[in-house]
Amino acid sequence: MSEIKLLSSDQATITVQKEVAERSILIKNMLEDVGEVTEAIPIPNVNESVLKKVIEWCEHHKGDPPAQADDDSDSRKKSTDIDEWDQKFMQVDQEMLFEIILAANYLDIKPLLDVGCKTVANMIKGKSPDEIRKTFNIQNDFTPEEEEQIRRENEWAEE
Amino acid sequence: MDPFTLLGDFEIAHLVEYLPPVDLIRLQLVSKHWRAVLNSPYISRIALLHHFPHVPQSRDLRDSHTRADAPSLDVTLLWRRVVYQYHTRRTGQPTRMHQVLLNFADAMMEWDVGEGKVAWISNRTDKVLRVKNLEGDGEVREIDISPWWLEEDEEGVAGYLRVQTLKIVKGLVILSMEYSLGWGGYDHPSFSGSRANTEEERFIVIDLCTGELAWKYRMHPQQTILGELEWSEGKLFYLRRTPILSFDGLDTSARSLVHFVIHDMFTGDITAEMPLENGNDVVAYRFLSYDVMVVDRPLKHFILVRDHCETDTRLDLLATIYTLSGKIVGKFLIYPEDITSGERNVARNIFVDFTHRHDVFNITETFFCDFSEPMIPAVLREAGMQLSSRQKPPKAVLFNSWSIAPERGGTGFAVEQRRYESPIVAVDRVQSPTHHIAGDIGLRGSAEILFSTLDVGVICYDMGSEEIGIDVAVYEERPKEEQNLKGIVRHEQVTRRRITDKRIVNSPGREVVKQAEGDLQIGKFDKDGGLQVKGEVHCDYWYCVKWLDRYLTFHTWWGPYVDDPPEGSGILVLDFHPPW
Repeated sequence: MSEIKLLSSDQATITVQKEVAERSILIKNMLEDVGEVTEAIPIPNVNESVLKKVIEWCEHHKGDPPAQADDDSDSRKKSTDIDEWDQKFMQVDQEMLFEIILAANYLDIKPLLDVGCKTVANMIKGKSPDEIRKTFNIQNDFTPEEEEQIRRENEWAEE
Repeated sequence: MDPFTLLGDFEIAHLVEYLPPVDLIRLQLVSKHWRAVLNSPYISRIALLHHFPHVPQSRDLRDSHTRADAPSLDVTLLWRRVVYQYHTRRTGQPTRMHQVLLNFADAMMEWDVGEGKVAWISNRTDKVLRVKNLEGDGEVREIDISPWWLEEDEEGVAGYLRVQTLKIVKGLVILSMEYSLGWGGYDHPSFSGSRANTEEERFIVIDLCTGELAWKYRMHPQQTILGELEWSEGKLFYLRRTPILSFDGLDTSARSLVHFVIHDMFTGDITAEMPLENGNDVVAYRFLSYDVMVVDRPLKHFILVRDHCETDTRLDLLATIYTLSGKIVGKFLIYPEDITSGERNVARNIFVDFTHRHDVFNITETFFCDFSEPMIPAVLREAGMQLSSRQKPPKAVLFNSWSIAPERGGTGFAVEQRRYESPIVAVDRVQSPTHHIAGDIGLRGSAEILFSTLDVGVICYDMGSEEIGIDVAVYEERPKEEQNLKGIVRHEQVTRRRITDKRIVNSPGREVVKQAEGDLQIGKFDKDGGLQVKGEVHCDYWYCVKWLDRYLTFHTWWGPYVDDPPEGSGILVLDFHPPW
């Protein structure tokens, strides 16, 4: 089984099976373009801890069928169901969760991007604005008048 | 940590695809940054195209990027309007209500609502098309169509005309009709899918602005249409059957040619006539001769749904997908819930709906449930009979919807069955007028019409005293662990609410709740704000409810109608377009 090296933004070198790394479409395309590489491939936007986490996900999912192209013929199929292993995998602090999403997008790992976004969506869905502020530690920076105006504009959506 | 600060536009766009549309409006109250993001044209565009890819607003938006002459659009406003419409439909909160008391007491009529107008024509009384503006002056224009459907050589001949289809589309009113010489024929809406003993079929197309004839077309005698007319993209479609006559000129019904015919909607010119593969099989003897033809919106395929009865107790359906050139690309057998299993007082119907979903065909089962349990024992007791458990109203009714869609990455089609469970709710205000016991006890009940693209059911139920209550029920897919039926996706009812007046708007100088003529009100709101509609629910009620983009409309009638004409009839239009 061939291996390749990845170089994180904080200069850590991580060795990984080629098959695992190729869950990333970015890396897969790069390897197809340049052929055999012995040097570490720089991943400038992802630090070591996040890259290790992403590789852990790729290792678990290395046998999965390749992701299908987007099919928007029925958007109701877009469910926020997450399988059990992925749920546990995503039990990380918020900073790591958002970093995984950014890394998944950068590395073009659509299934991981989906799981990350589903996890955040589940943290948001059905919550009141106040609960959202508490969940993500966000300051309410509206004046009472502004808040009242928006509340009136969107009152129809409140039930 | 604020995800909207840490994530980039692309990741946020991906995230909003997983959030319910109404949350994207509600959560603008979180902070100034959330409001700026969720109100931005970029996110509004992504959310609109993702959550509502098939609504006209999305089509306009896509057009605005591909056509140089397309007007620029306020995408945030479009998005807000679509979400408003979606949310208020699911919560039963129309913005406006219009009522039209018809000039005749007629259950047997054709009607349509669209482009700010309602149009109707009776099959029982005069042959006058009436068109009423919903907004503005509410003027009713009367268009006498008899000079157009009657040919010169037919004047004075005792013929019978039945309007089969009335549709408002692209500034036109399209009427299709059957003309039968010296024959009084059947006369009930539920027969609109079957065509027996027809002499001749004709179309009349009228310009809505001028009231003038745009074009008309007379089919060759003995040619018939299978199913109804269809239209899209300025074209008119139908399936035409031509019997192959024997030497003595008689239609032996043994062999036929079937063509898929396309007219230009504005000129009437026939632009294509495609012979159907195995067309003769289509018209082979069947139990009900039920035919429905629907064309997809990319204009690539059409579906023909026909009855396929192997026994006389069960209506199975055969759905065949054709290319527009008449080649078969898929065949599916559809098995509705068995009407003989369990609930004897549940009648079912099937319709094929098409509401801007591009290449997906939906076949939906509707049901009528007789919940007049207290009446039946009384009647049966008088006759010395016992009520068997199979005759008791069910606690819940199962019904189905089938989506037939192109296979991902393949060339064929695949079917997905969804099953819905609708609890039957006892309505304590139901009374038992004696004329129903003497007439047809099956008239008292509840009917549910599912709009599968929304997963919303409209439930119409008798409230007694010739009044109908109307609820909207929202269905959601059951969790994965409860999906124990192979090949069937189970849905449960998550909310059921009455349609209320909560969002009916009254702006100064503008009457938005229009009253029917005179004192009679077809629709009114009771002290709790719940909608009451004059009329009664019957087993073909699905024919009386239409849900278009912004309108939910009901054709209702009242009075004894078992054998006699009703006393009165009307059309009620609920408009869910936002007031801004």
